[in-house]
Amino acid sequence: MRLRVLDYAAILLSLATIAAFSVLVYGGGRNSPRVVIEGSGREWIYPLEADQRVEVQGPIGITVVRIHGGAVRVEKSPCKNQICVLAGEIRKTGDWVACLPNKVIVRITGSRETGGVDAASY
Amino acid sequence: MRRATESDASRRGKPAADAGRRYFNLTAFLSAFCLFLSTIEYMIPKPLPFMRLGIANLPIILALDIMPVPQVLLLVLLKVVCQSLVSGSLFSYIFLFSFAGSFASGLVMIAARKAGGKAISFVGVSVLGAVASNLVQIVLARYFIFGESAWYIGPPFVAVGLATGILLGLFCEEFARRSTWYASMKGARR
Amino acid sequence: MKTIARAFREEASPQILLASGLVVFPAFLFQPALSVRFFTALVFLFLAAAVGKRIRPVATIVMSASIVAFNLIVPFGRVLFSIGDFRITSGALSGGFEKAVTIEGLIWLSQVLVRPDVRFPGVSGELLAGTFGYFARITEERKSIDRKDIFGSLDALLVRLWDEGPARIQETAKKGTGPGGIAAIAALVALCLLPYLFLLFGPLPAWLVWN
Repeated sequence: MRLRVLDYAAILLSLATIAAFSVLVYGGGRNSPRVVIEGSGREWIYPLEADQRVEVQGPIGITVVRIHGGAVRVEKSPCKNQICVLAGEIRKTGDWVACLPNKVIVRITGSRETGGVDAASY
Repeated sequence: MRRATESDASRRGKPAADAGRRYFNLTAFLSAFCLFLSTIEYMIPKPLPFMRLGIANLPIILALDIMPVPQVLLLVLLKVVCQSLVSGSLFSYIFLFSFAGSFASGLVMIAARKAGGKAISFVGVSVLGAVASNLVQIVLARYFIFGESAWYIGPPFVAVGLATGILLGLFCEEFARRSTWYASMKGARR
Repeated sequence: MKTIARAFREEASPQILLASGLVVFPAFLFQPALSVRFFTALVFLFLAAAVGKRIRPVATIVMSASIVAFNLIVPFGRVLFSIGDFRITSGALSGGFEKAVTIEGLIWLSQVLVRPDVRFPGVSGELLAGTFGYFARITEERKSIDRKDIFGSLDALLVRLWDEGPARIQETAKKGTGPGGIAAIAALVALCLLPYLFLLFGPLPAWLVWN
């Protein structure tokens, strides 16, 4: 049998869908940022879009980290100076906020670099 | 009951009720045919549990030209429900996937057939239906099964839909060209 | 095992089984405690096996493992351990496990409660009966489909069965619901609803908190 005009159109449309889908999925277009929290030798990872409250036990108490609306901040800290709380929200890849007295570090990484610690940013 | 075409002609008194009865039977008949094909589909070994050839959609494609739109949609619903009763999957996600996929492909195929007219054959219709069904199922898999990483299996899954869609469409074209039963059903509709 | 099979298959009508699913299904699906959900799924598995459904352990394990593996790709929660550069996180692990348990549990539940011989009233019931009638005829005649001439033999079969008209399926002797069936269904419903009652009274004991 012979295919008709719109048959070719349908097949081309499907191929285009597959191509666009592939670029979107495999082409690095989905390098969604992640939040990495470290403290007391433990590590937590969340997508930045998550809505999550994390309690991190440090040497002087519990630091509460809040991920909400595409941003992260230290909500509560047992430390005296409260610099980490006052630092407010971070929302860009490469940004970080730390509570040095309680030894908690919160940073935003790209999903492809979750593994290694980027020494230059400290 | 005798041949449907004859009985249509012999009972001119109540044509509307008679046609309704005929479509009622035809819906059940094609739905049974779907069910039979899905048992065959079930017996064909496949490399992946989610992969399907979609041969159970053959009667739905054939129905496009021999039944009015509401009956085609009823056929899709009946196919999904009967399949889930036979396989015992009504209360599982399998039903959700089958329901959403079948309706997506059904609606797309009806639209393609109506809009495409003579410029589209069953191949184009079947390809669009298969791709629509697989896209919808990927989205469901994202939310119900695999999470964000479901997207990774998306492109190959849609590609499989394209391939099986072409094959099924070719088979339908050939069957529709040769089948005397299909010809009589088409004749009865006019 | 035999008593359970009898209760669910002979002393309960397909309709009442299906109706009980309308309660059991959401109760299982929305069960918030992963541990409770897991044990409930095990009960469904046991029941499916008891009523004679074929359980395929390899397929179940492969399916569950791939669901968990896919869910692990996007990290969520505390890093439990790393395999090379790949971090296994607690939230992703319990999330994947929960999905696998839910999917498999629903399949087993369905196999116990959904039966093809269920009857519906009215037009919908007539349509279903018509479908199953024709289906029985096609299945009986499937040998007439010739692999060498699929188009021709399939067409001949369709012509023959369509001319035959809708089959009168024999009314199977109506199975009533006996005390065993009622007891079995009541136990199943209770099993799925009781955990909610306990959840009202406070948190689960620590060994039951998995997620």
